[in-house]
Amino acid sequence: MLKWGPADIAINSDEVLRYLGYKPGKRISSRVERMLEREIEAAYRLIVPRGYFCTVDAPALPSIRLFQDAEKVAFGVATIGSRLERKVNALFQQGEAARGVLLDAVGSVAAEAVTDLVNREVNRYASGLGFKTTRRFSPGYGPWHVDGQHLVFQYLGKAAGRIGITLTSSNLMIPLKSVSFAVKMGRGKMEEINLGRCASCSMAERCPFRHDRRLCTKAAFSDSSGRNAAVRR
Amino acid sequence: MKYSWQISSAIQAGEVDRSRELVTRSLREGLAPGEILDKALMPGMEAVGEKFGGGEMFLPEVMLSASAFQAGLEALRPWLKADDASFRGKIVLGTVAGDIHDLGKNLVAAMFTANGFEVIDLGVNVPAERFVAAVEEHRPDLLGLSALLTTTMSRMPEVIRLLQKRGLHGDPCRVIIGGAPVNEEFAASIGADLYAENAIEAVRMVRRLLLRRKRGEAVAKVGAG
Ligand code: B1M
Repeated sequence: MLKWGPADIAINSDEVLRYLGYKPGKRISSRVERMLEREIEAAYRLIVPRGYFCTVDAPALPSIRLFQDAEKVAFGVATIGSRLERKVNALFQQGEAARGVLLDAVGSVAAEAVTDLVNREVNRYASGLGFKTTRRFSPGYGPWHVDGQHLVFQYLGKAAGRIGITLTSSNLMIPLKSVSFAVKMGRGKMEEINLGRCASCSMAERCPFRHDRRLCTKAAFSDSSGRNAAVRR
Repeated sequence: MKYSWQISSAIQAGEVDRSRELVTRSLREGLAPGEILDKALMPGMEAVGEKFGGGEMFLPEVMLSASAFQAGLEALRPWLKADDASFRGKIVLGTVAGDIHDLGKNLVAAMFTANGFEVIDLGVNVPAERFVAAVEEHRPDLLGLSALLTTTMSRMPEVIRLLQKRGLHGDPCRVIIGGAPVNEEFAASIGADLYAENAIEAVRMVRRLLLRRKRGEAVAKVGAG
């Protein structure tokens, strides 16, 4: 099990604003800025960052085209736990919808940030074995159907439960602020899975996150060190 | 109308107290409640919708504006005649079975509440049977369904089918759906009446539908008379 303290998670406020649809570089009102700062602070008291990954020999996997050029595949999960989403719900119940929206977006960014940390561990492990890695890619994004969750969770086994993540029959993970992913490992050249960018997404036409031509998931544009290339503008 | 500009801008700026105060002051000065609604509050929220659509305002600000609108509306409500409240309606809302995503649904609920609708929020992971039972019990104008994933949006048609089977679909109860993976085509293919991309659009579409229906009814009555 991979465990971190809240302070290990970098919650980038620009990233939160991007999730909320604000255009990069555009100034926001000082009121929203103050509210956001407060919710980021609150989030640090609510998140419980946990992760896990395992590796599988690629030939052992059912013949999925996605993995054909890999030698090994790492399956990973990350979560911030469910306290934050409970708080978001409570805020809505209290009629504090604006705060709820802000805290929820903070939670999404925190979940992606924990995923970055798990991704980094995968890459470290791979390089120890002399393997190169691809960017991470997730069931439900781009060409990988969300049914792929079954495969991921089959290999994660009981470990997912130990970090508090369960997969429902409709392929949804509880807590909501959780991410699952795969990384291909190998010595040869491997095809990146998420290069289709928005073009391959069913939401492409009407996605509210598309205006700045960046994907809604960081997975598709993080570099092989697991760092997010997009925030290094 | 006096104060219309101030009320409208208080709403756009999300100033809850100011919106309430201005409405109260307008009432005290004898302005007609229906006018305050139509010429100050509604244009304020309309402007918010347009700014959101045009990428000038974002969800947090929109929700602050919704609170300001609601505060104004609450101050006005005791003075409104049944006829003034042309936007008023009732909606039963929930996230479909197998899905526990509530943010989108909560935003839609908050937006309808702020706009004076009665909202019956069934929560998340709501089976078809419960949706239909709630429609039977509350007789709403709208049934709203939300879903986050393609796997769970596939649970929407069974709700509509069950509604139809019980003879509850169609006026007065229309179905509106939404959520990240849902689109207009899908809505049409499962027999939903409306699809909304976001919470503001949802309220706008429903209000239009209710106004049309009200006008239609009025015409029918005139014709019958
Ligand atoms: C009744 O009438 C109506 C009318 C309008 C209605 C309505 C009802 N209901 C909603 N609306 C509408 O109005 C609301 C307000 O304006 C809107 O509600 P929404 O709920 O859509 O919007 C919210 C207010 C804000 N939006 C959101 O919260 C979702 C935004 C996007 C970017 C998104 C985010 C943030 C996240 N995610 Co992910 N995520 C995506 C989303 C892509 C996108 N462009 O939307 C989506 C939903 N995710 C997806 C996926 C695949 C996943 N995500 C996952 C994880 C995550 C994060 C944790 C990183 C994060 C938070 C998730 C959460 N639920 O809290 C995973 C699942 C999580 C889980 N618990 O199972 C995972 C499965 C990935 C993985 N393998 O880990 C995709 C689903 C595709 C599919 N096949 O179904 C996705 C569409 C992205 C994509 N481009 O493909 C409208 O839809």
